[in-house]
Amino acid sequence: MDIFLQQIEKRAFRMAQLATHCEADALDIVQEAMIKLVSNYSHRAPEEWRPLFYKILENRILDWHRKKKVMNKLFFWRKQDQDTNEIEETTREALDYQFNPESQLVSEQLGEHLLESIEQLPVKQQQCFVLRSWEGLSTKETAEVMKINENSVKTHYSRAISKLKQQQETFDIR
Amino acid sequence: MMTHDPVETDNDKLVDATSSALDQSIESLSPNVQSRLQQARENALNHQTRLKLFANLCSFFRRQSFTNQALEAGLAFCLLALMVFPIISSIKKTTIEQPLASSNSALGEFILLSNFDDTELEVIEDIEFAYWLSQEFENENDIDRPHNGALYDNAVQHNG
Repeated sequence: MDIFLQQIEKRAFRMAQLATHCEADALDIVQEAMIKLVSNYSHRAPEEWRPLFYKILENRILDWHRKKKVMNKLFFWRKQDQDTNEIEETTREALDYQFNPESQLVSEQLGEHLLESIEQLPVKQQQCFVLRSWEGLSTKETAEVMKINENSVKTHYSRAISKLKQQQETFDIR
Repeated sequence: MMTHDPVETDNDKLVDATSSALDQSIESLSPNVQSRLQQARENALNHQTRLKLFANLCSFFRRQSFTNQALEAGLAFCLLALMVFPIISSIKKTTIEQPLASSNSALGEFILLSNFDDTELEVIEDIEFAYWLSQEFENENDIDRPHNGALYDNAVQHNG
C-alpha cells in the first residue's frame, strides 16, 4: 500500500489542484482520499486500489465543488475576495514558472498554456479528460469512477478536446 | 494503404501534448508540496495502524464485557432469589396459619382458637351454646319432652 500511494500521490495532487485551483485544498483532498482507501479498502486486491482510489478522489473533488458552490451562495460578498486571491496565486505561480530558466522553451510554454486551459475547463469535462488521456482509463472505467454513464463520458471528453483545441489555436496564433 | 484520420491525429497530438505537460508539472512540484504529500501518505498509513489497534482493543473488551455480563447476570439472579425467597416463604407461612373454614380437624380448630383473646373466646362459647340450644329445640320437636321449661332452666343456669 505504501508503494502504491507513493506512485500515485503526485498525479492525484495534480488532478485535485487542477479541479480546485488551490494547493492547500488539493493536499487535503488527496490526504482524505488516501485515508479512506487505507481504512476501507486495504483488504482488497492491489489491482483494485487504483480505480478505487480515483473513485474516492473524484467524490472528494465533487464534494469540494458542491461545498464551494453552497458557500459562495451563502457568503456571496466573499466570492469576489476569494477570486482575487486565486488570481493572485495563479499569477504568482505563473511568474515563478516563467522565470525558471528551464521553462523558457516554447514547448514548455505550450505545456503551461495547456495546463491553464485544462484548469479552465468545467470540472466534469476536466476530470473526464484527465482520467482518459493522462491516466489512460477506458470509457467504461472512467464512467465507473465518475459514476456517470459511458455516453456522458464520451460527451464530456469530446467537449473537453474541442475546447482545448480552441485554446491551442489561440496560443499558436500568438 | 492506410489513411490516417486527420481529426484523430490532431486529437492524439493534443492528448500527447497535455499528457507530457502534466507529467512535467508533477516532476517540478515544489519541495514543500512533496513533503506535505509524504506527510499525508504517512498519516494515512498511521491511521490504518491506529484502526487495527482500536479494532483489537474493541474485540478484547468485547470478550471481557461478555464475561462481565455473565457475572452480572448471575449476581442479579442471586439477588433476585434472595429478595423473592423470603416473600414466598412468608406467603406459605401465612397460608399455613390461616384457618381453613371448611376443615373440621381438631388441629385446625386448636390453631384457630389459639389466635383469639379471652373476650373473643367467650363470644365463641356463647355462639356454640346458642347453636347447641337450637339443636336441642329441634330435637325436642321430634320426640316427647316432659317440659319445655327444662331447657330454658338449663340455659339460665349456664349463663349464670
